[in-house]
Amino acid sequence: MDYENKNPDIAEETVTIPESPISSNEETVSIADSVKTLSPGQMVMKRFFRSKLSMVGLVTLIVLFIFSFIGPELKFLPFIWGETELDKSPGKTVVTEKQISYSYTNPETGEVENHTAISVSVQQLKSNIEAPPSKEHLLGTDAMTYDVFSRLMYGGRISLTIGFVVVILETLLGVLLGGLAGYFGKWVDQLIMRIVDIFYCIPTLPLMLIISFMLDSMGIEDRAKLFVMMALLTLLGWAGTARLVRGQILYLREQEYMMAAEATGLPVWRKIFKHLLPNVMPQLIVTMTLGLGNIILTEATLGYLGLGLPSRYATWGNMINVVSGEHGLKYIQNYPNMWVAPGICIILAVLAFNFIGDGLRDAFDPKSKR
Amino acid sequence: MNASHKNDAPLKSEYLLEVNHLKKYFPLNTNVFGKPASYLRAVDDVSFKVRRGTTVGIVGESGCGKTTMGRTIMRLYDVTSGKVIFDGVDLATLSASQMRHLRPKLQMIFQDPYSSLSPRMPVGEIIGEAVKVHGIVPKSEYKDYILHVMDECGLPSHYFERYPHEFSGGQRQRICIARSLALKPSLIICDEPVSALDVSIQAQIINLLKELQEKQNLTYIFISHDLSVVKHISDEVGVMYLGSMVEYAGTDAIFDAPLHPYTQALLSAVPVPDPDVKMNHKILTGDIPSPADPPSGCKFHTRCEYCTDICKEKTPELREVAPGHFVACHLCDSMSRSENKISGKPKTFRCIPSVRTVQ
Amino acid sequence: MKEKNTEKNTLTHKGKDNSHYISSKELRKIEHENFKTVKTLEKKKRRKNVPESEYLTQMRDPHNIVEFDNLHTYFFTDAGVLKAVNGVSFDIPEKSIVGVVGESGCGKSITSMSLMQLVQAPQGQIVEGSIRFRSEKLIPNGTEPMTKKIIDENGNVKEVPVLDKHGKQRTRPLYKKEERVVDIAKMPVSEMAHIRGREISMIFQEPMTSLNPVFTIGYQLDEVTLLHVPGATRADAKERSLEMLKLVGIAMPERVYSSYPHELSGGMRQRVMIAIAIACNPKLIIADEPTTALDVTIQAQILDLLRELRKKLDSSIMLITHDLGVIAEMADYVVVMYAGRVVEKGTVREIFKESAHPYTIGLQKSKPVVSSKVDKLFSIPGQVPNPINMPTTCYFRDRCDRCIKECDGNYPGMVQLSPTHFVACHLYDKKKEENV
Repeated sequence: MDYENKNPDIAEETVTIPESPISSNEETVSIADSVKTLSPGQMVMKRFFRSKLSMVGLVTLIVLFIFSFIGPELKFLPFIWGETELDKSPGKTVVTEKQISYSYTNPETGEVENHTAISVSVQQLKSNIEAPPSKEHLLGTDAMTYDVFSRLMYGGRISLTIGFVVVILETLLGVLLGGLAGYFGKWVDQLIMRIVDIFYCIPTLPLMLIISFMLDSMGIEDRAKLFVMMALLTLLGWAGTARLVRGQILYLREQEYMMAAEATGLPVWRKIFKHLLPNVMPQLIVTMTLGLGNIILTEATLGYLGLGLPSRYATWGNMINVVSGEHGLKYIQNYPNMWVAPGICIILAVLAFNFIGDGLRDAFDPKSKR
Repeated sequence: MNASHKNDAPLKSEYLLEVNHLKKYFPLNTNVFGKPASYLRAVDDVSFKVRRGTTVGIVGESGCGKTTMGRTIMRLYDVTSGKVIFDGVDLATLSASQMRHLRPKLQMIFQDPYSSLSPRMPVGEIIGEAVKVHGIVPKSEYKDYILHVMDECGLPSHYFERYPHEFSGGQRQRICIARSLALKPSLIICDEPVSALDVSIQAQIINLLKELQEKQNLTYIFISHDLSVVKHISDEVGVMYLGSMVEYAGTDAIFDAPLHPYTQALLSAVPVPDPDVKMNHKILTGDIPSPADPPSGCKFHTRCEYCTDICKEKTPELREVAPGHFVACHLCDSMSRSENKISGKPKTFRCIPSVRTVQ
Repeated sequence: MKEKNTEKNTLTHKGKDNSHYISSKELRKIEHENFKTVKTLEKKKRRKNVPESEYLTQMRDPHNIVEFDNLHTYFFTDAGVLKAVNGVSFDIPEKSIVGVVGESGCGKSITSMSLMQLVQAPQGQIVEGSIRFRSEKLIPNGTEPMTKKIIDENGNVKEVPVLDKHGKQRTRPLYKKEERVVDIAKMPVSEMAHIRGREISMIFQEPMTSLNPVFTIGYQLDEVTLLHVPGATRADAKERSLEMLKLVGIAMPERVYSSYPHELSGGMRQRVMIAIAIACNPKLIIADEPTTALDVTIQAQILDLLRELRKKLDSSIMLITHDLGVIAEMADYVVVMYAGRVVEKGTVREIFKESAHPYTIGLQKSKPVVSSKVDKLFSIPGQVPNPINMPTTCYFRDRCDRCIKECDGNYPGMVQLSPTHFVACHLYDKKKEENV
């Protein structure tokens, strides 16, 4: 059954068995290593930067960051104002027309005649309310004489900060609970997942409405409201992350390297922190990025409904709020400078985060061939 | 099993591992209260012993429970019932933390070299992680020790800081071996360590395993579906079918005179890389039944060509028909032992060497 | 002492390690070049109304079904150009089984993918060479009235015309076959669709994933007939499907016909895959590792089936596998590939009994055999080389134990040892001169 070679000149040589693969390995290193490969980081970066959309997102985001975090510091520029700095300079001249009706008894006929007259008063406002865009106020001012352009910057600060803080808190909570559920399974999993289900059932907006009114009636300090809002958004958002992490960990737990980690007798914390979490990271980063956009949207919605921070604080949502009040129509028609810009900012930020998130997802996915 | 060795002292016996009536059932279709309606009998009453410094091969097709058995012995799965006596200690009764401290002594090499290495860890850390945790060597010697182990497994030292994705299957499997070896184990369970590798690399890995065994007096349980590889590396071979051991004997006995009809079919199904050996395949009809719903009586009777009535009713027990040769088949009883001994081949079944005809 | 040595090694290698990764400058260069090449190739492929003359050609030997001629299929990856198939030439004669054997990454699958034009674009491109295929084009040739057989009350079989909604007899188009030789490497995609599945079909490695889980087996089988047999009705297709299922040895074709893939075992699914592959009477079946995912006993069943089918049908089979045992049992001709090139080809006896290339010999020796015993396995040292930036020398040089002076030179050409036996190795260069 041995297929000895029939070619005579080969037969002699094939009998000698070469030295063990171990010693011969050194020489083959040369050819294997002559080939350059991509480092893992390089591969991710490469795939990320190849996608044009994620580049657009990244650039937009950097611009937004510079705009909102560095912009307000440039106080020396004439058009940079404080967040709640009032412009006391005399404002525009307002011409008010007033129709006056009066009755007049005609002395000749003795009849009572009803007349209308128009009284015109010309008045210069004491402070610069609702100013049109000018060199001093690039986007004009609002009803409180705050500079819209500057508030756009401050608004970005708060909106982005809320976004980041909430997403990070959400992720921490989600990873912790999802990780516990996924790793330990059984009743721990059951318990945590039922809590997650409950949090999924809570309708966000009505709850925010109620809490916002409660806070108002309790007279909570304005600044504290910011923290309450962050805490609330976190509480309402962690469930998704927890579900994702649990799913990932359930999947990773079945991978052979987790078996191997178990077989080599590693302690539990090490298995979780050194083996599981690093492998969940890519998905987490993607959801975090996509989540950021969502939080900014939620914040804007709340601000628009007047449920967010007090209107004194500039957030993009609050700035749009002008169109919702009783004079809403007036602002929509006459003062687009007040609400178009924050709207665009929100759209840009959300789009940017989504583009980056999508780009990252493709970049981290080892199967994506592009 | 092995009745002749009953009198051995419990500690430091010649056997490193004794598996006694090991069972592993997975619950299926659990109802609302968590009570399973049925069980998947992945490992159903398996017993065997492993001598120190030898290799026991376990063969069988997919779904026969060989991998589950390996993992149950490792206590990666909890034991349903039975004993796993490793070096005098019953692993089945140990608590999780006791087991953790014992883990370095028994190690496992997995089938898929791609999924068994954590993708975000450099090679050096993969190999050395557990060494650090268990304090196998003093901290000062740590790096030298890892490099030494890597060298032994044929890994150049500059791989230390690279990531697994840069390597081919063979190199990765070497890393896996190094990871196990670094813990100075006495038993290594190799779960299909070469079936994901190319032929030329397979040979390297098998040679490496053999070499390491000689050098460090390692004991292997070698699980594989590839009969030729098992034959090459094992001293004793167990054949599994649907969770049970159907035949267990020395390698030569199994491969030269297989007694169980399943073993015979398995052997004749292996294609031989020689165009002149036209094989007379003894082709088994039908598929492997589901282990969740195994056939009654002898589990093999649905595919067996010699099946009789008794096979359908009574489960055959694993009995010693020749010294060291265990078979679970009713039909082996019916033939006379003397006949068996003289010819070395049973008369009831055709033996494999005679099946092949050289043209 | 040894420890110290290794320590030193790490230090020296550390400096080297940084250069192990590609610099961003190189990356950009690679990307730029890839973009340029891929763009021109894709443009050429996307053209509309390609004249027939561009891809019609002639067979070198009229007895062949397929002739690969100096085929180059490259992948333009981030790390550089991966020459997956690098100058492969071999023939598939009529009614024969040609085994393509090699280790993973040797390009055997990519060769078959090129034949089906299934190489993943845009990175994967056939850059050079040709694949000549003897194809049969169907040309419309009148119509034929449709009839169906029914059994009347007396138990006689009667043929009755099939009527449509308006009471008119339905007709089916007739076609005549016109044989022509095409070059698949240059063929437009739209033309290729007629060849795929009908003239060349494929059996894949994973029976678990190659059937669509949401459709019944019957639906998936009928689809093939409906798509490729012009004028076939649902009833025709079902009849044909059941016939095919019977042919592949499925005991209860009716039941399998109406079941879903997940209800079948791996072996059954592979039988169904084979039934799908032969449903259109293809001239060539590409079997890409058809038994690798199956158990030994099931593998034996499937191999037996393939052998039987080959007697019944007049198809050729291109059997791709890494298992030498399967090749020895099944194939008539064997092609041994290594790193994208053919190193040896010949009849199965020549390859197994008179193997010439050190790689073929090593491959055979490194596989333990059930019927013989050796103390230590022969092993080919080293790793399969990464096919990016291949040297100009013989690719096997670094792993070969029989290197000679000439091996430092260019890649060896094919040397003919017998009318059917070819080898690419410098050891046989002398023979070439003698022959000349």
